[in-house]
Amino acid sequence: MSSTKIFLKSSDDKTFEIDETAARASETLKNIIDGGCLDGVIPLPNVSSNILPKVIEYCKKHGGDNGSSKKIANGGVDKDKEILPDYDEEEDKREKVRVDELKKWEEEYMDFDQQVLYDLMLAANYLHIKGLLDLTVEKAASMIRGRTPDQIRENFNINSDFTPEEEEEMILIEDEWDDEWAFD
Amino acid sequence: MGAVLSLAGKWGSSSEYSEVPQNETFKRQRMSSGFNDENPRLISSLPDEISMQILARVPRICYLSMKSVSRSWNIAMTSRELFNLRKELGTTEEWLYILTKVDDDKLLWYALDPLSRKWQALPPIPNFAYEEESKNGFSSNRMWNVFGSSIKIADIIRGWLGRKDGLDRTPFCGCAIGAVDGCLYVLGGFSRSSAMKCVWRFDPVLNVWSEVSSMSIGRAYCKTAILNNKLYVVGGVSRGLGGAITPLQSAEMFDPHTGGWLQVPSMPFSRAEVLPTAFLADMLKPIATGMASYRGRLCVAQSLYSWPFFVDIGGEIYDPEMDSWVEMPIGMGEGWPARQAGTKLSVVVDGELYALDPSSSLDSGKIKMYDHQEDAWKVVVGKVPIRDFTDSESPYLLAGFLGKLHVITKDANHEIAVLQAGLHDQVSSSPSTSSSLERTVGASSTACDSSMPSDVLPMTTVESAYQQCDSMAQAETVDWKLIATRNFGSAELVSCQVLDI
Repeated sequence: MSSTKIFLKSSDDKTFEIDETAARASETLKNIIDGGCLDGVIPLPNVSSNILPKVIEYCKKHGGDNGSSKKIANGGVDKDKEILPDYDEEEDKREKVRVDELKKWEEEYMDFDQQVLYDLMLAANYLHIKGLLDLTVEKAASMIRGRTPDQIRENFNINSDFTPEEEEEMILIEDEWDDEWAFD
Repeated sequence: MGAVLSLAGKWGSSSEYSEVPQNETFKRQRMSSGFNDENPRLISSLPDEISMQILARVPRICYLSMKSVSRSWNIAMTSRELFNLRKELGTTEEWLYILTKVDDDKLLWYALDPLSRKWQALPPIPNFAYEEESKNGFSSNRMWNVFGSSIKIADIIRGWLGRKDGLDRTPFCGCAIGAVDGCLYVLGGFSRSSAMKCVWRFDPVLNVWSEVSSMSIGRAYCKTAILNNKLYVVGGVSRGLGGAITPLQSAEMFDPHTGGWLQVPSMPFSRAEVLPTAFLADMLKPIATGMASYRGRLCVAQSLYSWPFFVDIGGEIYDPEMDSWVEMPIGMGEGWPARQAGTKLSVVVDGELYALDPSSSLDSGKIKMYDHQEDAWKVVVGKVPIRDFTDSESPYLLAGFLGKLHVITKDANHEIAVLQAGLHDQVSSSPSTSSSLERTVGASSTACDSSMPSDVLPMTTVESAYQQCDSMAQAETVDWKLIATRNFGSAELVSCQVLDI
């Protein structure tokens, strides 16, 4: 079963190969596979050939392992706080090494320009790849955190559409609210 | 804890997208197309559905900046959709809201983000015209500011015995505070000579105050608690015909989803009914002194007052399923520590009920936890770094957030300090460890007392208190962590609430 190959066709008619286990990282592909309509190639009209290899790379890394990849998908924070019934220190250590390794991989994987970030987000959303969507959305969120309105506009190429009067009012409100004191 | 649910919920909801009822889909579509028609996309390269996912993951402390980015961002940052998404994603954040009172008796709210340790001021409760029904005989149209609940309950009690001095001149006092469904509530209180019914709600999403349905009767100094996402108020005092102040046994419940109040059976005060003489029954007025939502029921501590005396008479417990009151277990009622006469402050953290016992020593206190199996209050922290505030109306407040118990107090520099108690898990796990801990706590604090006879904990700054506590912590296995301090001038603590949005 692990050797079963699946073929994906990008929006610009290029075909890519992926292992079935890796493809299952995508909820959408999983449904198609389980639906039994695996005749030849799966067309993905919303994903271009620029981005599909990047998606496949993610799936290869995360396909098949369901447990630990979820933890790392949340920025390394194990929100589920699963307490395993048989707590094993050795297993815990191995898990830690695995998580660290995955983190490093993610860091390298996520090194791309903003257009790729947008495209990956769209592809992850379309293919329902939760981990990839979390990862990319989190990266975009980090481009807002702690930034001024001007910096946010610059990061996302947004034009302010407030009237000058509204801008002024904003500043007033901000001043009023400017009881935003740092503690230390 | 909510994260488990919300993660599953988030994914579930998007994969079931096509299966949601038609009107739901329609609403979503209409909403997103509405976004497109009237406003440009939040981020031009992305559908708003994904942009909202991004916005929902940014901490709330950044929201003020984000509102100023563009018109569509402004709308998105104050939308229910965003805050529902935060709930689904498990990215909600607990903020502490502290109500303070300044010199001129004005109420001011401050919010603290415990993670970024940043404070924000809330807009003031707007001035409002309050129309008292004319048949009550009060003047019909008054304007006032919302003033501090500065009059101690003891002074109100004094009023019952005919010494009403002060009250008539008091613009506003005795309002109650509550938090339910992501909003803050300010309820009732005395204004000049009448007890008010009105209720104000602060919506942190919109950052505005608005008035909601009034209570069925005017109440001041009532007690509040949240049970099953509904806000309960019990007791308090009102002003009857002829200006006599009357204690209230009634209770009512506010449902934030319907926006209306429902009556709850009145507290029977069964212990007050067995007073030996009519004279005593006339002299001693029953009053609710504290309330906690604990193990699915409302626990109300009660007292009998006759200025200047007060007698604790245990309490009563309301069971929402039975819709009736039963007597409180004796140990719970008798052991419930009082902050001062007429006020029994408590907080529930992770399902456990805590209260601070100021104890006899001037600059310390103990934190006790109620053990429902043994019906007893047990010391879990032998020493709390609070100063002597006998002259202060609210020497300290208690709050539960980030899964931990917090004490809010003023330090020697009159700065408001938020201290987190690092209670260790074994304290609550088994009775045997908890009692052995109690012994060690007792021993170490005695040793501490004898080594520092006159000035136990000379708090010059919070930092020093913090360090002192830290050094004590090893002996007591309780760490006190200073979360934040802030100088609010002469502002006094009044109350606090936690919102998780």
